[in-house]
Amino acid sequence: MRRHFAVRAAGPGPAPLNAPAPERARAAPGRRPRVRSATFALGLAGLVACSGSVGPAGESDLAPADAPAGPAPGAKPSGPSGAVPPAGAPSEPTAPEALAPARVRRLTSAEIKSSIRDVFLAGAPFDESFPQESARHSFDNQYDELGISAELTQSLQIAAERAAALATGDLRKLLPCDPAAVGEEKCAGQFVDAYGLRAFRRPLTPDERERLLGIYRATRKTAPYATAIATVIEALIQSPHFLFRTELGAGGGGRVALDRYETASALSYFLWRSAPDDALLAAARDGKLESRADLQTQARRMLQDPRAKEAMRAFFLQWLELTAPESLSKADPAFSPRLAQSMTEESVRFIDDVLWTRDGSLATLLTSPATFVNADLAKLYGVEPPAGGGFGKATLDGKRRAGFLTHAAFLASHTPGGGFSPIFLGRFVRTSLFCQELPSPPADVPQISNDPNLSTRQRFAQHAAAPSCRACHHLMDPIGWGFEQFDPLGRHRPTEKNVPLTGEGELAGTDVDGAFAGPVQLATRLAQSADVRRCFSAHALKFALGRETASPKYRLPSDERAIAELAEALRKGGMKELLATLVSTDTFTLRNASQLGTGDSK
Amino acid sequence: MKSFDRRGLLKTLAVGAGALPLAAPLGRGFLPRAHAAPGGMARIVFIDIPNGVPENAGGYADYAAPGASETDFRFGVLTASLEKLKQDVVVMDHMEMRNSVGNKLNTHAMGHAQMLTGYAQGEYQKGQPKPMSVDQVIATRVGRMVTPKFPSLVLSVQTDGSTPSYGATGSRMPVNQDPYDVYKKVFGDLTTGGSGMTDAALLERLARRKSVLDNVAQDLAAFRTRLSAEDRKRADAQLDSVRAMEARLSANATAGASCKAPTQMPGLNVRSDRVFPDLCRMQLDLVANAFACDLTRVVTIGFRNEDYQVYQCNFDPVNVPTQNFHGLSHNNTKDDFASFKKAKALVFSIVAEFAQKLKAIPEGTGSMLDNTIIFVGTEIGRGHTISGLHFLTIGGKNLGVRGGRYLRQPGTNREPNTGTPHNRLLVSFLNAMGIPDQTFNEGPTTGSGPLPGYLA
Repeated sequence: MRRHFAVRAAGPGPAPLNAPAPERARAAPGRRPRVRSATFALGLAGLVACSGSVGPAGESDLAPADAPAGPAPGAKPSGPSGAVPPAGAPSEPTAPEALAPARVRRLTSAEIKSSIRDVFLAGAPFDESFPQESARHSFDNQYDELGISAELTQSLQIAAERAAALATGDLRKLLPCDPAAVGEEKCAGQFVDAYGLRAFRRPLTPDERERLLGIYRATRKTAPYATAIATVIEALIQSPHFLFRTELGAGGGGRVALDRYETASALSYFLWRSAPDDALLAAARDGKLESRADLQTQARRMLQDPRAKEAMRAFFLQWLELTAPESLSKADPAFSPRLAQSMTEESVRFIDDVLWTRDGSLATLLTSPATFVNADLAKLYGVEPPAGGGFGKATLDGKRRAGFLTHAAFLASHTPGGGFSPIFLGRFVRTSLFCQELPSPPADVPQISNDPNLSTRQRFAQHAAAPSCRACHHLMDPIGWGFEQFDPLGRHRPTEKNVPLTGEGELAGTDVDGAFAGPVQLATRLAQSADVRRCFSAHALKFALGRETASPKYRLPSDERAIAELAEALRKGGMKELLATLVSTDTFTLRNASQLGTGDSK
Repeated sequence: MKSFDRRGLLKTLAVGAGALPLAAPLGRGFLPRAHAAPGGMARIVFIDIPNGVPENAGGYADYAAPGASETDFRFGVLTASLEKLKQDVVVMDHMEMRNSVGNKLNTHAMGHAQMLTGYAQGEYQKGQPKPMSVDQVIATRVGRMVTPKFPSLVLSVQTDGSTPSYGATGSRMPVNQDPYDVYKKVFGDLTTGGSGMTDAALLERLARRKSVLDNVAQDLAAFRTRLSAEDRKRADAQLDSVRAMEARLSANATAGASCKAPTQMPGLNVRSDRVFPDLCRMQLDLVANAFACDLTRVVTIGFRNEDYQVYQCNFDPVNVPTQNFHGLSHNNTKDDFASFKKAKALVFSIVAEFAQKLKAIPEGTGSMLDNTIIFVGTEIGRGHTISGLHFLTIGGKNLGVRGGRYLRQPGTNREPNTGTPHNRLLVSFLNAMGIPDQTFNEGPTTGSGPLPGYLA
């Protein structure tokens, strides 16, 4: 068991409910290069002097000299640091340098709201506006995007006061005891213990407990019991112990494992985007989050919960870079906000269906023509509308459509309002499905033809003809042409300006190279690609860890090992298997704490 | 607005909570005149209008054109709305965001990352600290001197969470793009009385807030000791804002006579591209009123970003539902170019309205605009590079800005690292705000010292 090599201060045995959290390691993390994807956003302009080469992910000539050494995803693992042991087999421990620094993660605004909902409101929906995290070309939970501001603190205060008022609306439902029966103060103490554990996701320290009871007592002098309890809730929600979750590990030294309660939070904020439930906290208390098997068992339990569905929706919608329906805007008179909503709903239903009802495989997501439509979408796709008013199952034309890349939401999000362009779709496949990087555009990019009499292919011929344009655009355009038979709403179009559209394109620099005709052949090819499975796994890891692992140049050796393992799990058992495997990898549970601070208050 | 008895409140708090754990000074080493003088409330606004300015054959006459001397210059069609403010305006051409890797970083995203940090993202090396942007440096250092309720406000209109503002540990600042929500957060306290609470109830509410904030501060003190140096900055950022909120509870605000919550246009969909200009106006109105109430001294606000696919220019008088700013900036048809200029001119006119509003608010011996620098920047320059950038500022007379000038910069060729490093302008901003530093996130090629000729 690999986790036996982890340093743990607390033994595996049960600890009392209110034992102080184990002394945590302090870490001065080695800094990672700031992650900025080479954002490609150049409209219809051409690119010149672009030196990017096509190579397997991880072998980019753009990787900085100080990028962590690690095997390229395509490379055969060799040696102790790169070897992926069979599950459950003993192996060399991961060296601290191969691990991410121990640090704290701020809850995202979505996580704050869901945590309030699950900890204090028994699952009743809670909405409050917070400053927004940026998820452009990324996920909303990335460390580098999660800053702190006065406005955030203010938002938290407003949310805390509202949540406290809601939660104390019916004390009988909230309190673990009857104050009339056990005594007001004793019941307040039980409340602080039970809800402190859930809100801080670990038992309170004696000092924390005493201070919270102090707030209760001070408020109770002049205010009703419910107000005193509400004030305690406000203090819990505004605390840094609620707003941040630590990944500092237990004990000191180089390699540390997350402590048992940190592990519980890591699981729940990844799989649920919310706080741990009582069962997970109990597992932490009882030392049942130690072995790989323990972690996988918990993950499988958690995947049965509706919160897992929500979390995976967020993952897919962000990975696919779907535009929020209310922001989508098209010139086409057939477009309406209602249609935009329907498009998103279709994608959500499709993802739910494949993940939780069907086999959960990436191949199914990429190739299945079976989806869900309502009357508006039936018209758009040219299929029979479902009986009844709402959504129903439908099978799209298998010669034209395959999987989510051919769904209206994806196509509308990646097609400019003015008309089809191969660039954005090609970029998406190259960077988000193959994890390859595109270089920045050079200076003084010339414009390509805007001649309204030419077809898109004719106008873009310059990209393929001029060597300076070709240097970058051969990474995008030949893939993007696969989608040319779709208009900005994702409707099928056989011709453009009377020129028949073939969807002929080419994959190059991948493990599934070759010519293809149309989106179905393209999607089928992508579904066969081991590179795509690895890249998808790398995105799942990025979503789990809150740091860049999709771009090979920022991956740590522990990430590379995990990605190889995840890709295999995905191939064998689909998304659920990938998720269960992910939470048991070293890169998920171990951290580098070799630069520990001294713990003073300077 | 409900008034309440401040003395009664203070008495209540003093009895209830004892000594403030927050009272310990933090970096209150010096209080420059810029903030301490009567009426001297130095403020700065960073406005990001993305996608550059249109290049004309042989120059940027649509933006502004230099004349025979510094003070002799002409506004173009984009900036014509600034004509009445000419004596408050400083135009700078050919500024350059320097970086160590030449012209490999010519993207909008790079320009946005560097605009206020002055720091080439491509220069990041392992183990090198990530810098805060200049707005946050000012907010932190000024905020600790004068403790406005919000050390800074980071706002935007339709940027989907992106902003050129970077806070502690180089994390992007949380950004609020919803003016209704900004109203609630910024002016919530001023309108608390409107909820019909009695003075006694309000005092009790504030006393409870104070005891909660005390506890949060104690939690933070314990929490930070375990953290890495980098993460401590995050905890300290939260502590700073908790301090500011607490200071606001127990001290008299220095609100001027013009302090009131703004009136808002009701019911706009903040994600609809049709209402983009209204949203820009609403956000800037909120800024003007927040200044009048001294709720903040530093604001960063972005009017869209290098739009990818979302947010078209489907608003009056541009009305192009198929193109965003970025698309218009790149297309070279006559119509697109004309639309781009129209869209840009509209945004500049909204900024001009804002500046006029500040100019109309008397403050000390002049106007609020005299105590405020409004920086209007962009992230992309000549030929899609991050050189040849055109910036301007409005206001700041009392902060030393020499207005009514066009500061021509060298850099007419297209070689990287020949234009004036924009870090020098950022240094000037620090100086104007009373921070005497002579460098800001200096790199090997950025030079040092303020921008010559900008400040008196």
